Amino acid sequence: MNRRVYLDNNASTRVEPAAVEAMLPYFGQTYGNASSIHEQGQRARSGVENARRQAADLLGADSDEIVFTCGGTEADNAAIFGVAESFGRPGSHLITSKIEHPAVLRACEALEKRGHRVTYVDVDSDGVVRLEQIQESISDETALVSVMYVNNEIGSIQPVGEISEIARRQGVLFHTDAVQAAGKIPVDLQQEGVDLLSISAHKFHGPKGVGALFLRSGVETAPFMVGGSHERKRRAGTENVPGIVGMGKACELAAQHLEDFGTRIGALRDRLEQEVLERIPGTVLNGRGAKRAPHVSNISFPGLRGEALLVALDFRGVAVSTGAACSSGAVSASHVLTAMGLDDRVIDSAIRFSISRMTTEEDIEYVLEILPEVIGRMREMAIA
Amino acid sequence: MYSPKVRRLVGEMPNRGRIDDATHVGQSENPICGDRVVLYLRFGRDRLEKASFQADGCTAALAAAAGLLELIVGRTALECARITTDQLLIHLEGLPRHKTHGAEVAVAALQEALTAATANPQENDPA
Repeated sequence: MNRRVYLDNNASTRVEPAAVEAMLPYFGQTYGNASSIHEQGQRARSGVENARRQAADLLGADSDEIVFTCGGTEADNAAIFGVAESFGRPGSHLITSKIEHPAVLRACEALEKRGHRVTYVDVDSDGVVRLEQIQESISDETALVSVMYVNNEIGSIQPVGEISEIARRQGVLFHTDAVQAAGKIPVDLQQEGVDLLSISAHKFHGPKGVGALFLRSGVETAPFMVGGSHERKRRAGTENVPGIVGMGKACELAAQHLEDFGTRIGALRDRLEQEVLERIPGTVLNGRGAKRAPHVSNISFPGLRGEALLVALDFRGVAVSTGAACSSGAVSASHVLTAMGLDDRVIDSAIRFSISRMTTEEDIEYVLEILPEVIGRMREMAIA
Repeated sequence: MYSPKVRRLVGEMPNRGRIDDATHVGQSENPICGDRVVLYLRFGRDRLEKASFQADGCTAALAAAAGLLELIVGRTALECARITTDQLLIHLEGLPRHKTHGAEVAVAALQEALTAATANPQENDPA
């Protein structure tokens, strides 16, 4: 089999073998319902509560503040709909940014259709939210500010502490989508003052289909899923015990590797960026001026189309992603790069490289060998 | 999403660039997405001997241009003129439904090359 290098870890990551191992007994042996009071049920409950502690430890939270969900999207939706619907009066106001994940943007748009008002604040050319717009927009009508911790396309770290401070001064709740932050940069909820935070297991080597919402103690929201009284009536539905156990193990391992992630992974990413910029003329590093998470690099090759470059790289064994997509004959540009005000040729040709702690030096070497060759071929094909 | 053939064509990009001794040149553009394809054809006595392409577009447009050349090299001008978008789509082992415009742009470039040759026989006479 030809060599494969996976640099699309912001889309999903390989599950840690230790997480798989931790999950296995919960399929065939400890398969009881975690809400049952018999022994099989209580063993499953024990697995869930152990995972809750592991997730809380990764975030610097208390176990009681962790609500398991079916993933990051549900956690985002639960936070946004939950806060809006529990606000004292109908027609609340929410503040978010233009570079959020669709899980947040589409939820906000749905609320607008229900009569809520949403302010979408701008970002600067490096993809960092404009704090002053949050300050200017916030009012007594504001129920929630929701700004992501780390942008998924360019890796820019948002000023979560400052946003939290602005929200707190106004008595407004603050939610952050930390799907690309958890397990990658230190997240300490005791310090950040965040009220609600979303994470997703499969972004840090846990299984798909499981995530969590941090709900600061004392924060009350309308439940997003209704039914049984699972998760202390905060999220109905029988717990995905194997998934939750796998997520717990992934949280534990992510916490152990956090320092290494910042240094070794950051060095790999920096090398990739530096050598791509040196070896391939005319490339542009997007979000260069921002403080960025160590695992993401968004680079444009103006004159080419990102999607075609993605397919060409995939053919040579390198998996990456692009924010733009051609659909029904029209190019749908990345909303993140568009919000940054970048040139169309930069937006259309952007490629996201996202690495993980399983990425090796040899992987980066291979990409640096292949990429200039593929770009060269595509430029030969381009119309002058 | 894309067939193995489409992935190979975009990965290998055969017959890319321009040939200087082309007898026929045609180009086409999709005004909505901006896909552009230019075909360079060199006809011999009665058949297409060599062809190349340049393109600025999405995966579908690039694969369609490269795939079209695989279909037409060795054929007569009349046979080339009869190539349809559907034939090209079959050759590509399909394109996603919302990407079939890529094949239309490539076939339109071929038609343009052949039409231009008819309109300007002195300039484009394959003989």
